[in-house]
Amino acid sequence: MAADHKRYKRALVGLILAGFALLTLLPFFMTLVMSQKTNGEILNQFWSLPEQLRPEYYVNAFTFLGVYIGNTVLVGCGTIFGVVFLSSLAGYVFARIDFAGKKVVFLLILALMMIPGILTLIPAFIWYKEFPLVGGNDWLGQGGTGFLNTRWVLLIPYIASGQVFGTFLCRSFFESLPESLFEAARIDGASEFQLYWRVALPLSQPILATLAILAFVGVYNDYVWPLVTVSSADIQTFSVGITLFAGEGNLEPGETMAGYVLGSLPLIVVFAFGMKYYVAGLTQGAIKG
Amino acid sequence: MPQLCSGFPTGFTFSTNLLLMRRFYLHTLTLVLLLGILPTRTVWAVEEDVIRFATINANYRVALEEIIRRYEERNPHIKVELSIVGQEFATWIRTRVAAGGDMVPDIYNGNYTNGYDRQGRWVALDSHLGGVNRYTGKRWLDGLDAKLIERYRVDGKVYILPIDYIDIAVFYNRDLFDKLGLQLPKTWAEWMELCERVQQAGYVPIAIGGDAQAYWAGEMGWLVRLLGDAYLRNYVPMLMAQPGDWDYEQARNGDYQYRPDDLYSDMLVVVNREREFAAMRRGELDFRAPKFRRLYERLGELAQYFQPGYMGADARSATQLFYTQKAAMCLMHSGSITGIVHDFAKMKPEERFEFANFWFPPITDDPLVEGPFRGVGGGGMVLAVMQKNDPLHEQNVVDFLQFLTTPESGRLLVERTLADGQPLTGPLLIEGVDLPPELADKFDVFRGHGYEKINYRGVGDEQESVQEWVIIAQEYMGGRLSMDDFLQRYNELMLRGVDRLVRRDGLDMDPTTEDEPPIVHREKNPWNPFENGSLMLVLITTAFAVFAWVQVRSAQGPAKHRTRTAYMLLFPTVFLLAAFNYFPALSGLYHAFTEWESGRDPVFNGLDNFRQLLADDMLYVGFGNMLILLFAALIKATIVPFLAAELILYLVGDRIRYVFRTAFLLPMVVPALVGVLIWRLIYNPDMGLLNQALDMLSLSALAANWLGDPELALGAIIGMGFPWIGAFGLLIYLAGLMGISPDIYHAYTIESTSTLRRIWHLDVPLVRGQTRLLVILTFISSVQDFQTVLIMTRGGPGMATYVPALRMYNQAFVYGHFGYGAAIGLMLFLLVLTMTVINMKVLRGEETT
Repeated sequence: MAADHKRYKRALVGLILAGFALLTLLPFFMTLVMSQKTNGEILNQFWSLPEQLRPEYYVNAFTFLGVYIGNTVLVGCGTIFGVVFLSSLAGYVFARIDFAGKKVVFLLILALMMIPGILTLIPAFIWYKEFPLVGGNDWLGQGGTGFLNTRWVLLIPYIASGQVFGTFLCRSFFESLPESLFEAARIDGASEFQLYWRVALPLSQPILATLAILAFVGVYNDYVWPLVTVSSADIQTFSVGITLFAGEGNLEPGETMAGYVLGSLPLIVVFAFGMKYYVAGLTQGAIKG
Repeated sequence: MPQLCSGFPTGFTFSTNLLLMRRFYLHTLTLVLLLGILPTRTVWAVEEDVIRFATINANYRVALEEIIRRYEERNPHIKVELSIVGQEFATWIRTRVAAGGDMVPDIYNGNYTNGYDRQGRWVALDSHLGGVNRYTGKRWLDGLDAKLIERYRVDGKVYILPIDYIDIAVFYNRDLFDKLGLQLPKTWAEWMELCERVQQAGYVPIAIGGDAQAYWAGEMGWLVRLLGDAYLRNYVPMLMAQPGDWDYEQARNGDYQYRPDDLYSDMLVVVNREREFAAMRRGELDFRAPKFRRLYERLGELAQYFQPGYMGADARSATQLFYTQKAAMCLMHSGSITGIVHDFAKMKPEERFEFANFWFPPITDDPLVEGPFRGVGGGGMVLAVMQKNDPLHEQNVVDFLQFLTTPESGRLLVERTLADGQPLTGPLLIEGVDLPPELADKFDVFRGHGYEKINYRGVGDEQESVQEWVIIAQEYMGGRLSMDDFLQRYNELMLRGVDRLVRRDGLDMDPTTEDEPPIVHREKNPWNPFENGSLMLVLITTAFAVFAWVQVRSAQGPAKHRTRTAYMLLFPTVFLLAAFNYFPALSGLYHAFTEWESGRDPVFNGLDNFRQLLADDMLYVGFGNMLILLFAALIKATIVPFLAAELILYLVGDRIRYVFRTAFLLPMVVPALVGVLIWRLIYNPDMGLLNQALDMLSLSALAANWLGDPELALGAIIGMGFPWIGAFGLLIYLAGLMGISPDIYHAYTIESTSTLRRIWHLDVPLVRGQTRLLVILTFISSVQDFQTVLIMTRGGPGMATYVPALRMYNQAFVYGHFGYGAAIGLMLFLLVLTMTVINMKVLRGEETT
């Protein structure tokens, strides 16, 4: 009887969650639906389904946006590797090594996150343009365009800024790992880097997956920085590409929506892949074994 | 369409066209002089050159690419780099100008950087316009709309080249008019009568967007200017240059006679800014005067026929009312026409209707009105040429502009844009370019009404005063401000704007002298680490190395080894931050102590910005909103995802958990654009989902104008994204809860079987680390966030959703006061830093007890 009772409760919870999920997913569904409607249909019957399917919207969107999506994937993947490696390493140091000056250094890194992005935009632009000995610049940073209009101007700041957030995230996760795990390995004579690589990393797959997803979403959503620093379409990312594609009010907004759907596909792949690492019981297994 | 309404107070007329001839004799003279050096010039001109052309008019992208291709074919030594910059155009331009050098565009939409004209940033085009366009063989000006070019004259010079024209008109449903037996109105009174009849027939008479965006750069703003010009044009004689003034010209001012019924009579007149400002300061031009009172009464008279929820509506929802035939008329701009024609062609016959448009009928029963309504629009694509002090380069840039404004290029602009499925902004101002017949008669309504002369939404184009006006105008129209209070505050904000402009442009308030603006060019100080990134990099790396060395030295025993290892492992992180993050951050904060106007170089000014900050009322109003949003954000970021995580974990089975996890992640891929669109449609007072749902539940008493009511707008912004299961918080809590050892659970479940009790006594304390993380991150992001309110309400209605971060963004990139924007940023930074330190201390303290 108690088991039955519990099953009903589970079913109820499942229903509630499904309701929330539907509400949460509404904007996503509406994007899909709009990607097949004409502007007249969108304005006249916003909540209804399209009259007919219009695959040409997707063809047109892909023809224009393919290269931008590819660029975003390239920069996004590079960012994921850089951010996940550097943040987990720094996060480990701050969480598990007790060293002098820790609090000061940590706060100095964390403080970077608190400076409004608008404030740093112009100095950052000038600095990436005048970075010495890069992109035709002399050692005083004059004469060339520095990192501007190269993939580095995206990759470097995404990794450098992403790791600030990532370090904070990883630190709080590593702090919650039981000290007993590290004790055992330390007694066996493992170095700190080995502890990080062999003990901390394998146990933190869920948080690293989260970090990877957020890093990728960050690259995908960033608009102003790539807009300002990149002028060549061969390098430019999706968020800027889609505004070019949409133009100043594309007469078929459905095409723009189709573009958004296409652009989100790499993200969905990353989500689906990342969520595989969200498995319960990693730590427990480690303690027992 | 993000066009800024521009209101340069100058113009032109047919009748006095001859007067300009004098000027052109001069130009011919210049031309003859130039011809003398022509041989050398042509030799130089074949040198390679790059022209940088940046525009926000993304609708013309394909056409411009084709024009550029043809231009480069004819001029192989010249390359034209086209940058289409959609949103954030002002940010793009201002950033480049601040960095200086080659990357500054040569040609761009000048109306996005107000003030550059008077800072010597732009090339005066007068002499070029008088010259021959070598692609047509005619004088360049003859192939353009000389009238509108006149209107953009500033301090006697032309800096702006308008390519196309945008304005508003009344669009109406002709079928509905026929059905109701309505005739087109000849006077304002007839129009009001017509609106009354439409209303009684159960339709919305006029649909219009009335959110802050619409007041700033949309239909409401245009409407106010339309009324303004009709009431205020008799101020011209009082404000124009007098004999002896530096900008007085006999032909423009001396021969001018006030003729209110002649639509073009005041177009050439030069208004002297110092006289204008002095009149405002002395109270001769008082914004509490009866004329202004009457103007806003008229606006109120018209507004009673707008859809009930116009205060919270954007232009798109107004169009929606018109499309669905719920509204008989709609105020729209010329850029909408292509879209309507295109959409109607694809609609089902029973949904389609005949539409047409008419010009605003004149007010005939009001002695304070000076004359009929004149055009208030302007160039859609208005191009300015950046001054680079390189005559040959300038020659090439002008040559390209001449090619761009040939009839062939104009025709390409129309054809290719339409073929690409993009809208036309309005009629082209290039001679000999006709629109396709199905569009031409719809565009006709916009021509031949003359152009506005004097208008005061703010002080000219100064965006800070215009935006302050937007706030009080919305409050007045929403009934939150009495007419007297509105006019009083209007007068005050105009005087503040005058003070700012007098300072910015270095005016001495003596109309007889031309004043040099304080053009500040300052070489960077290479020894100032806040201006020299390399020096900062060296300093920070050294400081870190010294700090690490001291720490290692002072540590004892095993701690010494640990400390050394820690610093070695941190090296890659710190190096990357030192090389790329600290300089922009510290340099940004440093500029809080400078006066840094966009277009000029920063100058140290100590604590001036902070004095201004203490007196900045708008900042403090915003603080209250920020705290409310912050509180809501904290709940949304912690409690909601925590409960969602618990619910997911309550379910048995890895597969179902996986499905829900991924489902709650998916909204992260939804573009902000769609999110805004959907939430606007949910909140829309006239046909939104929320009000319809309340209706169905017979709770229509609760229905409201969610985004348009100042009492509700902030709540509506908080409500966005319901049920607020943020992906990030959910994942963090899931990871935390999944990490709890089953042994602990097991021990606990023996004691108690209640799940709720377990959650409260076990789970909540065990995920305190995650909660702390989320609280700090939410705090940081929430204080800095301005995008949400920017795209939803622009801080309106009135100041109802204004936040300090929005003030920072406006100051820095909309008004161009980087230094003051940085000061607000520094204040927000200190606030977040303090709160984070306290937060860490408090939550940590709890843990140890």
